[in-house]
Amino acid sequence: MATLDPFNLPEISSLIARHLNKRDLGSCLGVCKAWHNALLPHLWSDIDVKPSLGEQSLRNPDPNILKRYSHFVKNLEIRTFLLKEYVMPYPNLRTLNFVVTNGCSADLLSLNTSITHLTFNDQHYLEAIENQELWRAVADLPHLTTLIFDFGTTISAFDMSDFWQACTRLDGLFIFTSSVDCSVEIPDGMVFSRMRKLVLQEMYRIAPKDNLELIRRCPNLKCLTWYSVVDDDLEPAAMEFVRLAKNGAWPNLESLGIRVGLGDDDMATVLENISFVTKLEFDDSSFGLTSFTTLKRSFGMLKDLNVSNCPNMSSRMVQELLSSCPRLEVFMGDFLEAEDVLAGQPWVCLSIMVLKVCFTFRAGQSLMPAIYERLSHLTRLTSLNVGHELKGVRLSHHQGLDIQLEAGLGLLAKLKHLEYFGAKDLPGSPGLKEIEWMAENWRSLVAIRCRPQIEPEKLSKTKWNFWFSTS
Amino acid sequence: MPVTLVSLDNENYVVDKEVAERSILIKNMLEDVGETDSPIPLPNVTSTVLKKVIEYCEHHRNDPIQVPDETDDPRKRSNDIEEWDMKFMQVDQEMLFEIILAANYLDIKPLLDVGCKTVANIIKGKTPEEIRKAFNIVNDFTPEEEAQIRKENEWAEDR
Repeated sequence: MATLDPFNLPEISSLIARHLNKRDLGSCLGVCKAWHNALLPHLWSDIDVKPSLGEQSLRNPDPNILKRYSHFVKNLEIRTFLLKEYVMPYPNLRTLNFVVTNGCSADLLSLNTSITHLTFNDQHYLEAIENQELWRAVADLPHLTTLIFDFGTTISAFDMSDFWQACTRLDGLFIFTSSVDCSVEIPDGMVFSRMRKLVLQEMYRIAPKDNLELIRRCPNLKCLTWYSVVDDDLEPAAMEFVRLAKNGAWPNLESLGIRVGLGDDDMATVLENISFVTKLEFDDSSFGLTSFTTLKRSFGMLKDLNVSNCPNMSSRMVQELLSSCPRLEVFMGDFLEAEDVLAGQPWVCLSIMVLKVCFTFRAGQSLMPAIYERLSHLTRLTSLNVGHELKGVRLSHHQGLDIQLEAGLGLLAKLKHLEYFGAKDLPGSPGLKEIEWMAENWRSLVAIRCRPQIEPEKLSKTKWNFWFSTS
Repeated sequence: MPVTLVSLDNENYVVDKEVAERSILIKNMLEDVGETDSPIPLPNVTSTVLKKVIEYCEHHRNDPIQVPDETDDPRKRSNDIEEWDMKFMQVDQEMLFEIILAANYLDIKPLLDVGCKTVANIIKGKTPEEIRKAFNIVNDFTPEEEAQIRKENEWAEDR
């Protein structure tokens, strides 16, 4: 038995452990000595310290026992006011996530210099003085490469020099909808030459020109996301961004998401100065023919394109993309007319996993089976949204795809990996027969979005193994 | 071109090259030696297990090369097993372990994954005693050790 046990091989026990939750791992540790030794590191690798309120509260690992196993801990999440007992060295700690920070947070950082990824999720406003200590500890982390501020964080300090010092070592900085409550002036001459990924998504209380200044100081960026809050000063900053791009400020850029109110020509200028593009998030923009034409030379490399809510994007352009980009994995657009699909070249995007586009039919339903046939080749799809999501535009009767077996839905039986199916606001919504067909054929399905033609009582009584959204 | 595989107990199996090359180990061996019709010895695999592994490779001969499931987010990890694979894996515990070890040795990643998922699915929701029964394992802990382990893992029961 012992020689046969796959748990004796660490690579196999970690493959099995990946599929088990903490509770099951805990049970496995009690099975026998061999399993205990094999799985112990997996039970202790991810620790979260949760708030303990009342008797029903979740138990946290006993700090004394945790001390014994602290070398197994790789990822630590602090979800409550940190107690001193948990402040200790975790010699192999890689990622630390603060949902709550307090006076102990800086001490925890100082003891754990192995940290490479640090996340703040802190929704509590903190005294600036504590943050000052915190930033000093962050600046002293020698191996830190990635710093993330999740939604709702407040970044504050008397002075930000420690923060900027930390940034010189980073290759990724992510700021999602956070308030910056301090002066952000970057010290003269400081350049963030290691930075590869920069995400500035709605930083409140910070002027667009200060966003741009940070972007400008990162000359080696590969990925940039810049969603600015609307501000009077946005336009000059956006124009300056275009000018810098034109002068080749970011020669290594290949993934770009930008929402700063650029026009079609300006986007084209930016794209012209990127050698090739793998990912573009230009949703809610004026992306149109000029930028589309500039993008063409990247069609061979393009993996991910989001042009939802882009009124200048035509159906023919969508068809050309799907038939010219063989590496496309994600495409999000608005409309695609069946006539354009059938008059155009066959689709080459056979590895596509996420597709969002509403098919429309000018000449009635007769083309529906042909469209279903085209979709049936996209067998890697995990998410397919053919619903009508664009506000302010209405589809008339039979203008969208009918989600009915008679119309050809059955051709999609090969889409085995489908986890999400969207069919919002389509005139030909599915009935009970169709929903049952989906449950039978799409075994990975997690959620459907549509308003089925089934009486609400029947819908609520029936138990599907996926989640239903009718909104 | 067919390839001859030889098991530990000297049974010969002739399979299509395409089927044999589902095993990265065999694929690399064939690339190293070039065109050859000399049999390939697999001294770590018995004939009963090799037969099973070949059955799997035959069924999956046309599968696309698997994109590794590297996601660290446990919610995104699928424990779903295809229907055919599920039936294929309905074997006794000893055979299940042997298939996993053979898949690991022969470097057939999708088979290794399915094997590990099957083991995980058997473990799920069971007590230590039930797991021992399912896998035919002898409890080698003293009662004191058992109590100690239970105490150390208490917190995990809530997650």
